[in-house]
Amino acid sequence: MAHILDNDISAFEALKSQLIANHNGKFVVIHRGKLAGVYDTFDSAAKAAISLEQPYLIRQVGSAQSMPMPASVAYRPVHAAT
Amino acid sequence: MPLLDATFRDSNGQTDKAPLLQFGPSIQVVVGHYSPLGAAMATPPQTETTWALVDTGAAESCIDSALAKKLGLPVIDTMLISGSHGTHPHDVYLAHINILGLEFTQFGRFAGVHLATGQQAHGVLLGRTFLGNVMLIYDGLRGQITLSAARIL
Repeated sequence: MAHILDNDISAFEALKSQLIANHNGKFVVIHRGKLAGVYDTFDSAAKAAISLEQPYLIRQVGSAQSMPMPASVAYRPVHAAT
Repeated sequence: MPLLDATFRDSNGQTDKAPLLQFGPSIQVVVGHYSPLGAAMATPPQTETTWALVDTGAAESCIDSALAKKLGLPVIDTMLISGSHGTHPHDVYLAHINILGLEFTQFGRFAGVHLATGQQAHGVLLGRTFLGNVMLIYDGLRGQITLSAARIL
């Protein structure tokens, strides 16, 4: 099923090697399939992105795109009602 | 530097360690859209006050999927989250969070997870991406939790 960010994620993947070479660790905004900006912090990237029409992709260059489910979500003790 | 005392207390104002053991370090946050000061908005953006778990075990911050949809938060990325049921894609939402009592407001990226349907007491998990902006003191001996924001926006 198509995702709202498919176009922007594809654009990021196409630019990935170039972004890693030049902007590793920075935060990028991709909008309408094009690089809209590079920022030092997530906060500054977000402030810039919200002036754009949705959708937009905000991603840190070189960051992992996966994580384990936090244990607090995966495992939570449930006690029987008394 | 503002300090937030997030210690659970009983009706007499005495430290109560039991809720800390049950729920973990919890703070109240206001989650919503960014609203620039002075901006004229026809419809004020929705916000919601909810409990957030300060979760040192979570790499990323997470938000209840239903809450994110209710607030209409923008989807800004996707990520894979792996658990005992395999690996699944999750939407990542952009939210503006205000930590009550800490005069600390910032943007956050939150992976959407099912907290409410899992009967979690918290609507938000504040992971290590958030903790990079604050100092947390967990005093288990006294049952006291203190947060401090090094950066005020």
